[in-house]
Order: sequence, then C-alpha cells, then structure tokens
Amino acid sequence: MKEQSLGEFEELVLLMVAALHDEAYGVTILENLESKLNKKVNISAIHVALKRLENKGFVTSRFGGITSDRGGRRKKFYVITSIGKQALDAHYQVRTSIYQQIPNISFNS
Amino acid sequence: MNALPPKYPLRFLRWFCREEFLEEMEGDLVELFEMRYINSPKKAQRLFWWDVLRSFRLVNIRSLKLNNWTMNSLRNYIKIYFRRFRKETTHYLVNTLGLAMGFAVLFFILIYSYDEHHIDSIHEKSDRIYRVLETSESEGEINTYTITANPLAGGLKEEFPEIEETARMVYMGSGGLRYGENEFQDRNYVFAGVQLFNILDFEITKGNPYQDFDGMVGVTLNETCAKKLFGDENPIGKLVDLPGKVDGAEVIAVYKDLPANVTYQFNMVFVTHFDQVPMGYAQWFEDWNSRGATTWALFKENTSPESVMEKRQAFMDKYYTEEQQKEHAFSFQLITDMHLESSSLAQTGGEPLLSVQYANKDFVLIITLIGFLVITIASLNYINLSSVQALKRNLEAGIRKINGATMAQLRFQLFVETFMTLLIAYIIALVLLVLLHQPFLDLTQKQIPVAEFFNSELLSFHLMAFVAIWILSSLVPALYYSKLNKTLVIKKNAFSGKGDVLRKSFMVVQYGISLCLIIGSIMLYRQLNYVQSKDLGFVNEHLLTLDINSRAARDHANNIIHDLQMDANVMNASVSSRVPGEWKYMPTFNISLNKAENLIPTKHFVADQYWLDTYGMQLKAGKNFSGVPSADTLKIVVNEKAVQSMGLEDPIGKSIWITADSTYKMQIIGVVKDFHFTSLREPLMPMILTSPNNPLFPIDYFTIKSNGNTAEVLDLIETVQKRYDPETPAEINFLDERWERYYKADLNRSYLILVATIISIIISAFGLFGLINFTAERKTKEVGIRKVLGASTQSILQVVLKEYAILLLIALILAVPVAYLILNNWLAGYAYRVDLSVWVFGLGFILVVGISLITVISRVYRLAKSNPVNSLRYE
Repeated sequence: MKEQSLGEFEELVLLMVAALHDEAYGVTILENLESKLNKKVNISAIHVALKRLENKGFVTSRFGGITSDRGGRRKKFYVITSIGKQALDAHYQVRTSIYQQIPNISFNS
Repeated sequence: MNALPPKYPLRFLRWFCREEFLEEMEGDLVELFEMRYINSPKKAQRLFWWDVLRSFRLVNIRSLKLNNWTMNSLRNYIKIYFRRFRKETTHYLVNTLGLAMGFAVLFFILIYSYDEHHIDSIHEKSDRIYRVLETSESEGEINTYTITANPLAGGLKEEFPEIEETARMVYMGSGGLRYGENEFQDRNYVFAGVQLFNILDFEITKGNPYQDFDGMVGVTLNETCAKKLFGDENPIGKLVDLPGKVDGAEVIAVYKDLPANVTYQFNMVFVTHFDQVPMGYAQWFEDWNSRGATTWALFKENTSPESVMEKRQAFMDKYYTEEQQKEHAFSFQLITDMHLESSSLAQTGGEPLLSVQYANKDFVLIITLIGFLVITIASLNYINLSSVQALKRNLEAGIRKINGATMAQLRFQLFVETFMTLLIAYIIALVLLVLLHQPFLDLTQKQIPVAEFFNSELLSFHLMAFVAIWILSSLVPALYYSKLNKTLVIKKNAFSGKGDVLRKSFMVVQYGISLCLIIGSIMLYRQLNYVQSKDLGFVNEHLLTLDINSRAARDHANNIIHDLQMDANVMNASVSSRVPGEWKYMPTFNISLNKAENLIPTKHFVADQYWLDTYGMQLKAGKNFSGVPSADTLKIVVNEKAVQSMGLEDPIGKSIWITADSTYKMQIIGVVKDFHFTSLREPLMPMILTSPNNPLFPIDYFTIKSNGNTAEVLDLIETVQKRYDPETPAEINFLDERWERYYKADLNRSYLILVATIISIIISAFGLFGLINFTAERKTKEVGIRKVLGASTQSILQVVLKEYAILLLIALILAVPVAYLILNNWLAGYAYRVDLSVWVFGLGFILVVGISLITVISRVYRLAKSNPVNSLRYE
C-alpha cells in the first residue's frame, strides 16, 4: 500500500487520540490540544482532521451511548489503529534520527 | 441547567451538514456551548455561531443529490426547460437571441455612459479639485469662460482658508521644442505654476518638477515627447529651446503619458516662474482685469465652494472696481463635471487644448435612454412570446395541477424558466461584449481596457438590469400559465386566446419605440449630411494653413506669398487674420451707418487681394482689394448679411463707421456672398473684410491652395518659411481636418444611435416572427378549412395580415407626436437645419412595415400555400 502522508496538525490530533485512548472524541481532543499547545483551536479543524485520519485508516470510530448531555446526541469516540500507530512510530523515528545528527553546538553565548 | 443553543445556526448546520457527520458535529458543538454557557452566555452564543460557520466546509456540505423537494422540482423544471427548448427551438432561439442582443446593446451603452461620467475622475483628489470659471456680463450678454483673471490663483489661495492649493496655467498659441537638430511642433502644452503638480496627478518617471532651475521656465514633458526629442538619452538637465518663446530652458522632469480618460493630456508642462517673465508680460500676469489663465483650486477636505461663494463679494470689492466686477464673477466647477457641463461655455482662444472634447450631457442621457428602450423592446418580446407559449402548455400545466401542484409552484416554474433564458442570454451578451469591444471602441473613439467593462459598478448595473427584467418579464407568462384551466387537459391542443389585448398593446409599444428610433436616426443623418454638404460659401479642398508665429514671418508676408505663388504646385496663396475651423476667437466689432447709432456686432477678418480666390468665394457686387496698401487701408468688403442688417440698397461706395478701440470711417468697395467659417450650429453673422494694411487687427495665417501634390507643397512651405524666418519651425495644418472637428462628436454619436436603432429593429422583427410563427401554428386548421371551402392564397394572407397592419397603424399614430417633439427640440440647437417633413415619418413607417411584412409573409405564405389535407390532419 502507498505510504499515507500525515500533516502536522493531523499528527497532533492522532497523537492526542492515542494518548486519550478510548476517551477521545471531539471535545476532549480540543480541550487537551488547547492546553498542550497553549493556543485556540477550532473544533471544525479537529473534525476535519479526524475524518481524514479515519479515511486513511489511522483511526477507527464508534458511537457512545445516549446521555442527557449534548442535547441527547451521541459522542463519537476514536481509537488509534495499528496502521496509525505505525505511522506515528515512523514519524517519530525519522525525527529522532535527524535530531541525533545535530552536532553538539552550544547556543549559550 | 440545559441552556439551548441559538436556533438559527443550529438550523443552518442541520441544513447543510452531511447526515453521517451531523450527530457527531452537532453533539460536539452543543457540548462546547453548554460548557461555555456557564461562564458567559453571550460569549457562548457568539462562539457557537462562529463554530457553525467554521464547520461550513466543502467536506461537510451534503451533496446536491439528496432527495429534497426544492432541488428535485428545480431539476425537473430545468429538464423540462431544455426539452421544450429542443421541441420549440424557433421560439426559444428567437427569445434568447433577442434578449442577448438587448443585453449587449444596453451594456455597451452603459459602458459608454459610465465612461463619459468618469472622465477626469482618475485624479486622486478629483472630489475636491475645481476649475475656476468667470462669468462676464456686458450689454445684456452673459458669457462664462474657463479663463480667468491672471492673478486670481494667488488671490484665492491668500484670501480663503478653505482652499488648500491653487495653480494657474497659460496657453500661448503655437508651441514646440528644439534640442539640437531635433525639433517638433506641438500645441498641447501649458505654462503653469509648479503647484499644478500638487493638484493634478502626474506620474513622474524621471527628475523632479519641484527642483530649482535657472531662468524663467523649467521643462517637464511626457515620455512620448521625451522619446521624440532625446531618443534614448536621459533628458534631465538638458537645455532645450521653445522656439519663438524661450531659449535654453532646462528639462527638469519626465512624466508618464497622461491617461486617455482625462480632459487635459498635456504633452508638455512648462513650469514657470511667473515673477520672472519679461517686462510687458509681467504686468499682464499681475493685472486683475485680464483674462488669460486657467485657474485650478484644490479645496481642503470637508470644505466646499459654497462657503467661499458666500464670501465672494468682499473679495470682489477688494480687488475690483464696481465696473470690473461684472467681468470677473468667479465660480467653481468640479473637475469631474468639466467634461459634461462645459459645452455651452464661451471661448476666448486662450484655452489650453482639450484632448477629450467636451460632450453634451443631454446626448449621454438620450443614448442611455435608447439603451433602456432597446432592452424594453427585448423584454416585451420575451413577455409576448412566453405568454403565448405558456398558453400552449395546458397539457403540462393540467397534469401538474392534477398531481397536486399549487398555483405558486406553477408560477415558480415559469420564474425558473425565465431565469434560464435570461442566464443564457446574459452569457451570450457577455461573449458579444468581449468579441465586439474593439469595433465599439472604434465607433465611440474611446480607449477603455476590456477589464474596465466588468468593473464592480458596471457589474452591479448588470445585476440590477438582470433581476428587474427577470421579475417583470416572468410575471405575465407565469400568471397565464398558472391560471390555465385543468379541465382543458382532456382536450389536446385546445387553446384559449386569453390576453390578446395585453399582447397587442405590448406590440404597439414595441413598434412605437422602433418607429421613434428609426425616425430619429433618419433625421440625425439628414441633419449631419446637410451640415457637411451645405454650400459653405467657400471651397474647402486642398487648402493648407501656415500659422504666423513670429515677427519675421509677419513682416515678410508679401515675400512669402510671392515665393509660394511662384511654385507650379501652388494654385494660390493668401494671408488673413483667421481661417475656418480654427478655434481661436473671431474678433467682433460694431458697425453703423451713423457714427454711434444702431450699432451692429460684426465679425471681422483681415484678408489680402488673393483671399477670395484662394477660398473660391464669389463677389456679388463691387470689386476686391487692389493690393496697393495705401489704397486699401480704409476700404472694406462686406458680406450679404451685413448689407441686409444695415438695410443698404446700394452698398458699393457707401461709407460706414467701424467701432473697435477707436472709430474709423471706411468705404465699402465690394460685397461677397455669404460664407460660413464657424460651426453651422451658430447663426451667420454680418462680416467685414479689411486689407492687411488696416488699423484694426493683424494677420495671423497664410492659406495655400495646392493642386493636390501635398507632399511637394509641404516641402515648399517649409523651405519658404525657413528662408524668411529660420528661427521658427513651420506649423502647417490641413483645413478640412480642422473643419471636421466641428462635427466629429456629432458623427460618432450618430453612429452609436444608428447601431442601437438597427438592433432594436432586428429585435422587434424577431418578436414579430415569434408571434407570427405561433399564430400560424394556431391557425393551421382554420386555414385548412378555409382552403377546402375555396379561399385563395391571397385572401388567407389578407386575413392574417390585417390584424398586424392595424397594430402598426396604431403604433405610428402614437409614435409620431413623441418623435416630433423630441426631434424639434434637438434641431432647435442648429442654426441651419433640415425640415422635419412628413416623408421622414412616412419613410420610417414604410421601413417598419416593410421589415414586418417580410417577416410575416415569409411564415404565413408557407401556411397559406400548404395542402389542406396535411393541415387538417394536424392534431
């Protein structure tokens, strides 16, 4: 299969889905991302990213039960798939390997 | 605690969002809203709006294939539209093309009108730049000039705090530049204060107009002139001569050629230190009672000329005597009004050249009106044709109704169909606009980039026209269509002839408009033709003029004439004070039989003994000048009109008094037939001619009649000019070119009107053809029966044609008074005009009848000739 690409924001969302395992849906992802990144993120951006990730097969989703919150609408929970995990690993590896090539330069003075 | 999110965004979200995403997204948005609501309800609502808007993305929008009622019926309507288009191709083509042409004409005319209204608005400060006008009132005659007292600019700036900047510019006859061997003649220049650059927009490409320079004049010129004079050299700092005016002036700046849509497109602006001009001139420049400068005033933001006008009297009292005040009442004209509101202003001859001639506001209004008339014709066509089509569609309407369609839905269907037709017509019109823009620009003598055709203001006009026509022309057919009786559905091909009166009156209006346009065009043509072919009293062929721009040329006038006449290519040559078609003012003196009684204003020309021959004028009585200066001094030749105004029975030998600066008694030696040296819009004035050796006025032009070998004659004139006046370059003009300028604007207008008229007739004919086509179909059976019973082809033609002939007659009766009133008004502007005769109306009528008959007969003849067997089988 062709290597699926992973954009920067998508990667962040995917990481968050993985981190929040089984508790990941739109609002929790939004809140956690905002607190980690320290900036405002729009919910619609996350929805789009999630849909793309699902299409690429990096996450799967299921609906939760009906509660009285959210006007009775079900939550849609996302879980990372093994392909998604592999993609994250690959990304992480590439970054670390390049990072390690950085010569030891001191920026202190 | 459950606060409800705002209703409308939620509804919007549910409307656009894909079904499969909706639950998740709505849930998340609502949850966020509920969380935020605790902190601040207001903010939560705002953010909810924002989130919904941000979610409005392509990926989230549900597809159009969804089974939604509006979409479904729309699709059905469009499908039916195209099916009918295929079935009734003639009808739909006629309809669409008519509308497309109407749109195209309207849009072209809107572009024309838009451009006319935006001349000079390109200047950045155009909303507060004013040209100063002066009104003089003497002996009951009121004239408004664009030329003011010379020091007015300085005075205005000093006295009125509202005025931010003023500048004056002065035009001084022939002009040009010389740099080494290179030189050229060009009158499109001004001497101006450097402040002019603060007021009008110049795009400086080299140098700096504000810099210091030595001497009286610093030269700035546009890129074209710079190229002409210096080639690829850098012009800045070079010394050039203004032949006959200034030697050794420094070039200080070069600017981009001024754009085509400004009135003044100076090729050269000579930045002048008006305090350094030579003695005699300096006095004139400071004289408040002079009239020589065009004055500009730039008002500060948020101020207006009204406040200055209120304080005008104090200003006048300070600078003028009571007598002079009548001559110099100034006022302000906004720069963007110059183009359309100056055509009635008086000229002194001191005006700088106009690169874009003033236009008549009324004309722009009329042509705009014609544009709307043409689109009206096209819309009426549409209404008529669609109404009868709608009546034919009873089967469709019946089935729709039986299936439960409401009246509103049926009407909506027709609105959709009109929209489709208009859309197709609009697209065709846009294509026409792009394809035909070059011929249009040639016709109107304008330079407008195509991109400007679609600027936002014009596009908003398009939109308005589109929507207005859409709604107005959908109403009638929609009404017909929705009112069709559903019981008719069982009777196939039944037709109810509803709305005949309405349809017929629409046709009458259409034909009335067409008739008015045709009659108008014919009159326009006859008038312009008359003006151009009228016996002007002189022969305007192969005539060249040479301006006298120097003392040397004036002193050697006799030698120059002699040398010119020696050449075989020159038929004749003469010298005079004025020539036809020249915009310089014609001096007016008063003549009378008794020294100071019954003064008659009279145009004055200086002319030598060859002048009448050169211009091919004829003496009616008496004799010409003798050519002996001393004998001719106090002799005059008058025209017939002058004899008439003075009431002389036997003018030859009579003495009359001529009042100029002082009064002279002169003897009439000859009477010349009337000739017209100015536009025929102006009435003929009494005229007197004096010899060059006269106390009244100097000579200013040579006129040379060539035998047609123009190139040789041009060379000759230059050689002769060099011989006697090596300093000044020869300024030569072709007389017929100059003369044409009087009528050029009229000509361009008439073309525009003519084209609009032709198209309006075509559109009307389209409409008629559509109607006839329909009538023919409807009457197929009737005609068949008539034929079976023995009617001839001719009698059948008669039956069908009678109806239309009556309509045309009614249209004629309505159109004639309207056309008559308008044309009479327009012709009143000409001193010499053609008569508004009956045959013009007759011809217009015959033209319309002819075109309609051809249209009608071409279709009806086929019907009348058809075999009744076929038509009776027609079900």
